[in-house]
Amino acid sequence: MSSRRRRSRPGALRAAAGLGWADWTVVLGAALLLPTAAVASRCLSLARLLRVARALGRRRGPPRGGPDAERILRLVHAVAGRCRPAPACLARALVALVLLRRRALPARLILGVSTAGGALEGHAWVDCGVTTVPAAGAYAPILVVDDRGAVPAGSAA
Amino acid sequence: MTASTKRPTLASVVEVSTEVASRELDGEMVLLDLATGTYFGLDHVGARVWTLIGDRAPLGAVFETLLAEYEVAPAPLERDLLALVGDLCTRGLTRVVAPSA
Repeated sequence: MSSRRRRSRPGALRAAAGLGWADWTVVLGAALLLPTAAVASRCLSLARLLRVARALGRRRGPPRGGPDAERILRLVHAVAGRCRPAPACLARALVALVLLRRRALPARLILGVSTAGGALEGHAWVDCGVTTVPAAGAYAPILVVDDRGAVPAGSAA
Repeated sequence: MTASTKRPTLASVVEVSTEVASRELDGEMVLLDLATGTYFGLDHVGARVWTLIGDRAPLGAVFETLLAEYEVAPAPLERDLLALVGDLCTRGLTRVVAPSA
């Protein structure tokens, strides 16, 4: 009589086992783009960075099958959490914007600020209508990047 | 020397850079410079100046408006206004578009 002990898989493997092919394309895209975005955000002006992100995220026809916007955002967030050094919110938001828009999923990148505590603290996140990643929290939008380009938050529809 | 690098005077007209996004929050103005990715904050008086500059009013008109709205002597107001606008121009947030008199 053999005694087999079944080992429980680590959380990352359990999560990976549940990913479909379309999920993996998002994961691989995020894994490639996140370090690039992190470096680019240090080298390029914010205006140029936003232009590049919009160009890379040009829509490619009607929506295809695959993960929905919320799942893509969560996958990007999960991959970012495993990157070292951890990408800043701007890099995460840029990558999420590119991956969403390339799949013809509507998304807006928002740059905001918090004045809590008297100090200005900037933040960037992506809004796809159902959720925001990274979390918007108590940040007030300043600039919205959408189909029209970069527009002040007050004039964004 | 170009108009954008001139020190502003009350005869100057100043315009906000196209690479600056701004929003009023709790009476203060938050500016985001897209060229540098830097955030700036202006207190409520600075926010009022920013709003008036955004209307492309000559600094003389901005000065007159502030003089009417705040209890302040003309000399320190002129000094502080020109210092603020000069600082904004130095940081590339605004530029002088009409030559000083």
